[in-house]
Amino acid sequence: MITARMRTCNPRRVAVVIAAACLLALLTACTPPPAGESSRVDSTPAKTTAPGPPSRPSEPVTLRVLAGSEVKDMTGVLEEASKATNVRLRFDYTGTLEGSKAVAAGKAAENYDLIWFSSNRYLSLIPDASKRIAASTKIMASPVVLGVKRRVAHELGWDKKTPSWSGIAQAAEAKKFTYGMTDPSASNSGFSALVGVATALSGGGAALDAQRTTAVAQDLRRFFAAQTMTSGSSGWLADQFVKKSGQRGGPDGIINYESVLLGLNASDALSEPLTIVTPKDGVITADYPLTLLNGADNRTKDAYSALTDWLRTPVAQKMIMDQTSRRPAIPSVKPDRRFGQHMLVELPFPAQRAVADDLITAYLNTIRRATQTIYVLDLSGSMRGNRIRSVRRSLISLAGGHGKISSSGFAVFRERRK
Amino acid sequence: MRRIIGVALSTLLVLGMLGVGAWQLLGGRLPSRAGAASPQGASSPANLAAVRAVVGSEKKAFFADPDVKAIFARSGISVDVDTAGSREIATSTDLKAYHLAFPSSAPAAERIKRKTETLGVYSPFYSPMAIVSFQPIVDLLERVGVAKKAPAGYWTFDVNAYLKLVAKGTRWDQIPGNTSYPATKTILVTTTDVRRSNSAAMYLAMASYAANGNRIVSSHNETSAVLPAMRRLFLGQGFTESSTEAPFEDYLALGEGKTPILLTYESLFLDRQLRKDGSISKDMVLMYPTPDVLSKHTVLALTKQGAKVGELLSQDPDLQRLAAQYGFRTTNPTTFRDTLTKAQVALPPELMNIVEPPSYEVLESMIAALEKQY
Repeated sequence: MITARMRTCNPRRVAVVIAAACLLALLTACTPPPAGESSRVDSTPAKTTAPGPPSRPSEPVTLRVLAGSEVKDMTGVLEEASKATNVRLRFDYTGTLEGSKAVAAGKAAENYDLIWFSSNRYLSLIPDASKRIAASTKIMASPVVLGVKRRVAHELGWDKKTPSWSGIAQAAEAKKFTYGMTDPSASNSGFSALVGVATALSGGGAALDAQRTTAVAQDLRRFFAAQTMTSGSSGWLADQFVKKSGQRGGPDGIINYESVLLGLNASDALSEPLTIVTPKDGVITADYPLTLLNGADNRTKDAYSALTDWLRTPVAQKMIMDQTSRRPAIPSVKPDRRFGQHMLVELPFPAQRAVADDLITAYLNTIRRATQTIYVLDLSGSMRGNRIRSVRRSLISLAGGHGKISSSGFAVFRERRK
Repeated sequence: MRRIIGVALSTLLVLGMLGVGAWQLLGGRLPSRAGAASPQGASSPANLAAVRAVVGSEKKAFFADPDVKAIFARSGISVDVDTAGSREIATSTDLKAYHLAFPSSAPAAERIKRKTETLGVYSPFYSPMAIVSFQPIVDLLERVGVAKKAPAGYWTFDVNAYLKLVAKGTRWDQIPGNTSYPATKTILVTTTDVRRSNSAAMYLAMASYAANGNRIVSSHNETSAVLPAMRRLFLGQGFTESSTEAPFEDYLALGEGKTPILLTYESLFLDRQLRKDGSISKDMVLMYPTPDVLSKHTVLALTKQGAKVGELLSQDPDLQRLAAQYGFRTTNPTTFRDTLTKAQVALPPELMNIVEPPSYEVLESMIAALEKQY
């Protein structure tokens, strides 16, 4: 993943010196790790002699999962799950939008039994994608919210009175605070925030449609004027935020999952704690549906049922809440004090893919602050032949020409980018 | 002597059934796909014939109940269920993999019947559609003339009044004096995806009836006339789930912030009340839409075993009693009433204002027309 600093005022050109070989490495890094670079959850099911419940597979079953990197923090819970259910998961990770497209194209089912992203909403917008899905079960919930350094939140009065998205946009436009957010074309938290703020700034009401998406662009530009940090994934963004937290010029806030912000506050990593701001007009909540792909055999289906049933038991839900700071998905486990008492209004999510894609494209082309990326290319003799050809190909592709380097379709040079 | 013969005969019968089951299974009807190594299916005990069913999500808990499993086991059957939206069952599910399909309504069953050969149709229980909410929200809805208390004491939800509210695009924070739920979003009942789920189709049935001047929509012209109003009900919500269970769980776990008003099956709410698991808080309210429609859960047997399951579900008194414990209204109303009374759950009203859903063709054409708008 790559973190790009965005600058509009006083742009001091920072030359990023990279050899051509590194450029290629960078390109790969822009896209989520390819399938196959699996990081295996090492959880060997304990042998039990006592017969389990009827749904428990008698032999250990390993299911292959294509997942968002957000669920990496489930390792501890999944170890317990494998002891209880005899079902283990083996993960490959990719971005939500990228993964959704792989599922819709039918490619995911070739290598995976399950998918597990923070949300299936984008997936469900793709025509016919529902045919790829056999069942889905919500495991936990976490809204995408704003975390602001305590001092700054106090100055803005947000610790006393919850602002609306337009209140936040006003403060952003007046340069009263800055923040980091992930790239909506790669990561679900950035995408959810973009949808949330666009829906709210266009006056709330019903779900966004094409007309309102166009109308709200100007207001969005004001809101995103204060974005000074971006990243391809929510975890990476949090890491960058921590690194800059004690430094001058680091962002004052971060848009991320509530669970990530609670996790940051619980760690000693930050120079000052974050005040969690849940905009009063509403948020978009990730619900982490563990999803069975179509075409599974009965053994896989039964293993899926056993695992999801267990993950939704009160014991597992409590464990998830304690270990990952996410809200429980079942009513019998109540969210603890960390989550606060205020009501979490959920904003409607658009029902049409064109609306979502137009919003992302508008964000990349005209809404966010223009970025500058400088490539210094090695054109010396050692680059002769194939090496220089692949550099050429990559640059043409980045400039929006032929030849794809990323299946998401959003990884090209954007308008206004220098 | 007669008893011995009886025992011997029933043993033979069970053995015979197991034989049929084994034949069916080995004959490739069921686990013909790669990976299904064990002929019994992975989860069923070795001495039972595995019968695979695809059912609406709202019946999953019923089939997972150990008591239900025990009753099926008495007949030598283990029913393993996969869940899917009723319309998905009819359109995208590969029914060759199943012994029975158990969608949640008559129109959904009709659709499956037209594309697949069936060995029997059973309607073991039904459920009226319900609208669930929270008391502070119901108070707001009462103020705008949508929620009304019936003389018998239960809450009703006036679909006609609601349609007028939606036509104006009214937002929650536009209700005068609303301090309890000042959200900027439009007042809309949360439903499932009308393209995929039965409960949303039942909602379309009642809403189109109201929009059509309290008449069942029965012609192309009437369909066109009500379509703009129906479009607002569904597309304004934006993203919707494909199974009824999912938003109901959200209603219970995440509360009114996410789901202030939800369309669901009465059975899901009663089930939680009967379980007494604390998930129904004091301020949760069950309302009955006027007009209301009934969702008739219908078994379509695809094999002989499937037919056996359908038969047991509709005739076995223990299974009927268990169905009532999951909040379903049984064919014999006494079973349903006794179960609720015994559990000290308030008896739901006898509903008067019930309308039939439109014909299969008309309902389908309305859904297809809405599908084009997404």
